[in-house]
Amino acid sequence: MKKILVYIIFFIILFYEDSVSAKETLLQTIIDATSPYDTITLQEGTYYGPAVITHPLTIEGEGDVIIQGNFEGNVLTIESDRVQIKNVTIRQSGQQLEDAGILIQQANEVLIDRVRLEDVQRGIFIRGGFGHTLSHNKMMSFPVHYSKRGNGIHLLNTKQAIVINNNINAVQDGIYVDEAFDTKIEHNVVKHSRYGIHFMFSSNAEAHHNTLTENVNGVMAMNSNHIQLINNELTHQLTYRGYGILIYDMESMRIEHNTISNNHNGIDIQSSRDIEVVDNTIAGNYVGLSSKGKNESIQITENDWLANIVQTKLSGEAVQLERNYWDDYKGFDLTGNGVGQLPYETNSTTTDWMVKHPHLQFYFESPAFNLWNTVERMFNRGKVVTDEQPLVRRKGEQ
Amino acid sequence: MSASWMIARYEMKRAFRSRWLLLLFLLFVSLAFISIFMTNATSTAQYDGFTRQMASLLNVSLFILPLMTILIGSMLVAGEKEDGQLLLYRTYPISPTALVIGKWLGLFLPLAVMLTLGYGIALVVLSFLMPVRLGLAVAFYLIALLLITLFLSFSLWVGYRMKSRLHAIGVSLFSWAFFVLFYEFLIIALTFLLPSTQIVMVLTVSVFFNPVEIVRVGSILALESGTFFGPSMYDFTIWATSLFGIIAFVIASLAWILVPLLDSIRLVKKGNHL
Repeated sequence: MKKILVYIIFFIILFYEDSVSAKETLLQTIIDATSPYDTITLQEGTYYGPAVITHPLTIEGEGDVIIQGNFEGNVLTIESDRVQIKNVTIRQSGQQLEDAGILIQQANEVLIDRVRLEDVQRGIFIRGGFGHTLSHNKMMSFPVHYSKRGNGIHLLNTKQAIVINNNINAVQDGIYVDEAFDTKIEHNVVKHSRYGIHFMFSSNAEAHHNTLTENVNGVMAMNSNHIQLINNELTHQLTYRGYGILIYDMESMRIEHNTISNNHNGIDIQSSRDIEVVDNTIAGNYVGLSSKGKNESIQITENDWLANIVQTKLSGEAVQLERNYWDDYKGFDLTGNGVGQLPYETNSTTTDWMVKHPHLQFYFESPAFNLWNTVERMFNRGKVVTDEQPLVRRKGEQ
Repeated sequence: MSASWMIARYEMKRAFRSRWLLLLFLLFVSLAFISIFMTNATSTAQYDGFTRQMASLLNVSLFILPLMTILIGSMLVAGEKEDGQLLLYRTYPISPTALVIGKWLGLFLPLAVMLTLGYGIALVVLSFLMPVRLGLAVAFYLIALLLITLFLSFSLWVGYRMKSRLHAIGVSLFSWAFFVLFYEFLIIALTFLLPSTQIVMVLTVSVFFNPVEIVRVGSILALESGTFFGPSMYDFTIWATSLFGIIAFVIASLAWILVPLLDSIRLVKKGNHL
């Protein structure tokens, strides 16, 4: 009796093992059977990686197609021009720092469209090449602290990459633009990550209509030049080091028509040159605008500064304020041309002190500090940054 | 207890007949109108969390309410002493405890009623005219109520401590200025002398020795805007919003109510400057 039972169990195990391997379709086998410029349509089901693509190829999923890694290395590696991956779910990459859902290297003009990336260290890592397009993808890293996650999209050394309509949640940096040139980043959403968009050593990038919210920083721009941020929404970066936009050692940057609200710091500019901040709404931040280090030629023009607890914390004289609307401006427009007669004065001794002694923020807007500010305004102060032509109405207000 | 309730009722009757309570009512109504209107009508109302407008409105309360409470309480008690009424009371079979508690209740209840009416009327009227964020209106009401409660015992104590109305006015004004203004400057000066590792600790402790600070810091924390204090106060915010922090705030508030009352009872017992 015992023997029969053992046989039965043995056969069950054997049969079970068999059935698994029968269902397990290896993606690499399918890829190897194709010729360059083929299009393969994957039917609904799970396909097992990792796989490497070395010739031009289009892979398109029909229905719920899952390409599953084995938690080691990259799930899909693309090493050829003109590869297109569409409408699949990629998951389970390795958990090492370098591992990605999709790695693209030695390749140009790759298209990744409507791909879901889950349980991956990095989402899409592109090393070099030109003309890549990443569109309508969704990604999420492992559920660990952001310092241990990988980036959503990492563009290293790319040219003319287009990142459009992606939805990125809980990664390290949403879109990391690293030594990349001529990059376009449009209509993406990055949430719950470290930096929404991170520029490093890059030139000529344009980011518009992106929504970057509840990250540590919305945009982190460092050591790059000719970057434009237009029409983006940067909100709720509210941790202690939370910045809407943090600019460090940048050259030639234009920030135009963005909404920067409810962040710890709205915009922070450090050691940078030729920065233009034009026509933005900066509202409800704890600090609206701050500057540190040696800046040169910083133009802040025609922005609305509303309900920031500290409007500005400026050090140095490189910041030029012109024709902004400040909601705490106390002057009047007597001539009716929309410009107040008295200049708007930014820094007070109390904010200067707060820059030097951060713990004093504990008393900001407290009765004593308030009295101090009021008394101080009655007397002439030395060096202050002023907006000589403050607007008395917000944009679009009659 | 019945004795203190008798005193309280007598005090209330006096208060409701007097003109100062009506003036206070007008003050509360204006304060409520300003607070509720400004937090809802300004261009900044759409940005949630703690805004500068809210900070300045909080300041209006922090300036006015302690001043008013300290002056009223201390003047009434000191005046009673000057007129010999307290001496008369002491000839009655009423214990000092009942006397002081009755006095406190007799002042607190009219003030609380007027405050509630003031905020209630402002809220009802304004909600006909504009969309009103009820939560914020209630927050400002509670802040005002807490300020009055915390300062009332202290004001009675000043009254029992001082010889005459004139003394009481002097000390009231000084202590108001101390709590609202000088205290912060003193602590700031102190932090400049201390090694940076002790600053957060000193600032934390300093909150509990001043009712104005308890209310200011407590209300910012209660509005979930603790990051407002900046990164260097991170440890404080985490602690203050934890259970231990909340307990510390409650104990400190109770101490500000009970300790001056207990000492007032002691003073009456002793017959100080009767």
